[in-house]
Amino acid sequence: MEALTEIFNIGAGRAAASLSSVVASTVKLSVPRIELYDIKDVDVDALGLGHKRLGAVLQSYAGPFEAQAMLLFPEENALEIVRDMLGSTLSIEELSELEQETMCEVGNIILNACLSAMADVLGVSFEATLPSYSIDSLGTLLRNSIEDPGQPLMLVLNIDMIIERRNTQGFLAFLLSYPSLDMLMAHIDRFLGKI
Amino acid sequence: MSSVLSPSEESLHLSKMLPQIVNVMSLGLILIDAQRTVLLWNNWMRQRSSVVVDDPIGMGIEAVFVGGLPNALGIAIDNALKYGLPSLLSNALHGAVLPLFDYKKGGDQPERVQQSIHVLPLKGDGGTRYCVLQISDVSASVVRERKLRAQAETLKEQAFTDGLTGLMNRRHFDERFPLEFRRAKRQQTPLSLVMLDIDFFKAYNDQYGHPNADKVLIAVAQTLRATLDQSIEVIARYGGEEFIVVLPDCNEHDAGHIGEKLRASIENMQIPHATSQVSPYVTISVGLSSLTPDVTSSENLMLASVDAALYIAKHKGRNRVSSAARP
Repeated sequence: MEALTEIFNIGAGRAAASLSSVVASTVKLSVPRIELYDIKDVDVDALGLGHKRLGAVLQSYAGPFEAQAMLLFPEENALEIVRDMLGSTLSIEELSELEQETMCEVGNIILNACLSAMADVLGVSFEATLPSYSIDSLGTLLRNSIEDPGQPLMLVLNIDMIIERRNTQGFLAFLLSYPSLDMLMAHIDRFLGKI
Repeated sequence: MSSVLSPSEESLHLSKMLPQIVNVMSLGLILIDAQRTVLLWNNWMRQRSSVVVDDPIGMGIEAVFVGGLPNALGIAIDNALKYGLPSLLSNALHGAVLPLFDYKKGGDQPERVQQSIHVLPLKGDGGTRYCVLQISDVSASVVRERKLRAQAETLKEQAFTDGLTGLMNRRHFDERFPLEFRRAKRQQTPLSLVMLDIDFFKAYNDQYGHPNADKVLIAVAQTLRATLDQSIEVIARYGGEEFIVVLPDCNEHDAGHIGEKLRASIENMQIPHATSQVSPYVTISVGLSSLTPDVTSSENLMLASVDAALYIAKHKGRNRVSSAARP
């Protein structure tokens, strides 16, 4: 888990660098904590998300292990991010097509950075779908994402994001199967064995 | 001759059709290989791009565009070729990032195409990586969105403005006051509220009629605006003949001066008011409440206290300014 946190923080650093250049202001990202849940036990309250509606950027990955990645921000945080980046003053209901696309890009940058860090460190490679954006409760998002009941595990990364001194918390969740988790752990062990 | 094609003929047919399909599509397609050499450049691109050479096939993608390859696109291409990860460049963050022009629009100065770009990794034989850039023209959406946004702003403004006086309406005040209150609390700065009411307004209405009463409301609003510092943002029509002003960074002493200035400015308009029991002219009563918010204070308590101060001003004989006890 520690090694994984390390890898994701490398990714977070890369993501922050790309985001900073895109929005031309300082963006800082860190992954302070990683937790593994059985999806049955995922308690929306434990994540501090309550029954709030969440903005989610979804992307599927295939490779040495398969995962469905979800970048989750409470809806109002997602809006703050877009507002900070675009300087727009619209309300949640008005979050337009173009702004949703922006949220997708932000999610894509963060997800790609984490995955590319993993690819570099573990010497693996992935294939991925393009990101999509949706707004729903965590329960519904999980139900919609688990087409495959063989992905009963959820690896949750807590993400701290600072744009222009405004601090935003979000989560990056990977839905994994047991074999995928085993593969991931095997790759990490191999990596740890090398150093 | 049979019109039915065998599977092999069909795939041959399809491979002949593909280049045509690529060229009739109404989006830009560029294929580059792992060395970042351009392998395909479709008609859509040819018709719109401002490139260094007419036919960029065989060139490195970095050298193709006038002004070079945008940084974000370079990173996205890296992600596709090195890691097999797809990316998107949203229009809102990147705008018209590539030098693509719609030569049909804008005459001598062709319009730059608003773009949304997808960068997609492909795998060839033996795992060689390729990358497709798919460029969509979203200019129409951008224009539509700008229009919708402008309309939304106008509607919002209308919903928050008092139609008669042009001041903020009650709803707008209810939204703004808590923000000012919280800011004063955060920054530990004084905050004052001024609530004022036109004296014997019902009697004026009965005597002079509705249209003239409306004119008085408009005149009072104009005078308030003219008397107050232009930088004071929150002046609202609070009720029928009641107005409210938020004075940020203003203590009790200064609020007293401003209250008196407002009272005098209305009296000095000298609008005749035959049925007023306190003056031959239209006058106002003014209530004041000032504080530096701390943990014990609340917006509602402050509103209640300024309301009480206004009541005292009325009770003491109108056309005067009264301050509240500390809320």
